Amino acid sequence: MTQPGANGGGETLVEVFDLHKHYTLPKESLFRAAPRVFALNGVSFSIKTGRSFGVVGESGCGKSTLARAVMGLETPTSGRVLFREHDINAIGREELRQLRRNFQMVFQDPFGSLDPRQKVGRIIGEPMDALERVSSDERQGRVVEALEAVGLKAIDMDKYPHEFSGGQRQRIAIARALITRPALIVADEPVSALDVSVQAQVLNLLQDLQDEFNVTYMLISHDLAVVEYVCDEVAVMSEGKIVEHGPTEQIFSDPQHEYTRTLLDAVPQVAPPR
Amino acid sequence: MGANLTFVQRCIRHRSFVAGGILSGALVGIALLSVVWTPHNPIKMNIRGRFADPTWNHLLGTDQFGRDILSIIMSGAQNSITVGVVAVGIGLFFGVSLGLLASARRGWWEEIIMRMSDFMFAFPAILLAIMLVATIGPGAVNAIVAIGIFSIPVFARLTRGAANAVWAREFVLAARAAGKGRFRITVEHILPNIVSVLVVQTTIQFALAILAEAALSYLGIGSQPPTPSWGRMLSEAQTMIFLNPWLAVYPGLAIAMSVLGLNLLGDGLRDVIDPRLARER
Repeated sequence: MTQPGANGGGETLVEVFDLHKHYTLPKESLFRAAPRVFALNGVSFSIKTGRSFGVVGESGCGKSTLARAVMGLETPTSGRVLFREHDINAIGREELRQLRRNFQMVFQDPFGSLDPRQKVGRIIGEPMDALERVSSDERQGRVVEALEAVGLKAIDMDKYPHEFSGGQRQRIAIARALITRPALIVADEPVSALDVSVQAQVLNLLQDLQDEFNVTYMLISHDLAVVEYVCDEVAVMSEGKIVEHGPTEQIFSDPQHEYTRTLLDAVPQVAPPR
Repeated sequence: MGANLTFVQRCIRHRSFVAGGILSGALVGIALLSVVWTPHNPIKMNIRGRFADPTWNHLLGTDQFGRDILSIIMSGAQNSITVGVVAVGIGLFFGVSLGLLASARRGWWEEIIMRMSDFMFAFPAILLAIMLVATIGPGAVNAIVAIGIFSIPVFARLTRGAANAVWAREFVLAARAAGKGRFRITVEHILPNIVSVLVVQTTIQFALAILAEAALSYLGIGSQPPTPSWGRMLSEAQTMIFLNPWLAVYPGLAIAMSVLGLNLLGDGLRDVIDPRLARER
């Protein structure tokens, strides 16, 4: 569904073909089949390097499942996820591990996504420790670099997560995602757990980092303003399907699908009603 | 307010931790001391000096064989601690391993491990310990193994429940996204996050093991004479309860104080060990 004229150059980073994910819930009745949930119902899209991709939709529409499937954390029922033309569900476990260096994730809840028992330095270095072999000097240097890139200080690496505010914690989570210098960062609702004033700071940080480290974002959000601010392309999801997909300006100025219009109308307006 | 306190400061401020620490420390100290020194030889009899009242020579008097009671109590602490350490060690090692395995693999592994521990829970532990000792013969080692085996399901169930809660946290997902396997996640994330739960349970199981050993020795199937044992002191004193009630009081007090101390220590440790709980207080 790539729009003509929407190419910002760059190779295709991620391609998703006809992704389905069904969950089987525990059986409620002995005589009826176990109920199933269709979280993804045939989702296809592609992300090009440097073109940040937003996914919007109401809660329960399958966008988090999509993020996890792209990260290889969830095995799809059918369909394929290609990262730089490697099918992440078909390659071996070790190959996937090597590939993970190139795509990292930022989670929604900055209080749940950091292990309370580990110091910040260890948390940030985790993907590097798991995926690369680095000397302790290099490790230290890169952790400090990542901390400073997200606006924290080198001394913060010896603190525990509970000593930080929500916004700072999300910065730590972003530093962790950056440490392996990934090409893609999947951010699942990265600011929805934060105060509005802090949201803007974190979004600005995400944009600055994009210029500095040349990462591509796949940003999942229920908040249209967030997606409009960060993303070049938007896909609108409803009930496990992408109902509309295109460049951000086009979607916001001229929504084609009824569901997109409903979403846009639901955004609270600052201007007083006339 | 408590957030800036160091670990040691938090410990000192916690009353039940201090009380439990003193009692448990005294138990360990006495046991260690008795290895190198006791006022008298705890197994040397002196029939002419039996049922002596407390004197400076025999601070707690002597028993029906004229043995120095203080010395027996002190040596009995060794016995209790050995039983506690080994039995809880067995339970901790196998129970935690099984619990972590069940939690990491889920599915059939979890079903099998948990149904087996349910099966063991269905029988009263002390009764099964008696049965086990009756089949393989009485003695301290068998009693320890029997007590240890029956603390395995306690730890397995506790570990699996706590570990499942940690597996559901987002930082585990983050570790998976970082490319860590189940084993590394278990060692680096799951275990450190359930340590406080395990520490509390360990001290409580330690207390239970001391009680169980006393019960088995009381029934005559634990440690055998002349090894000093609080449980056997109780059972021997029982026959002379009207002749000399103090004989039953000393070992009873020793058992009660040890168990109380360990339980207080466990409660205190739970609060002190966890920086999050400390912050909320």
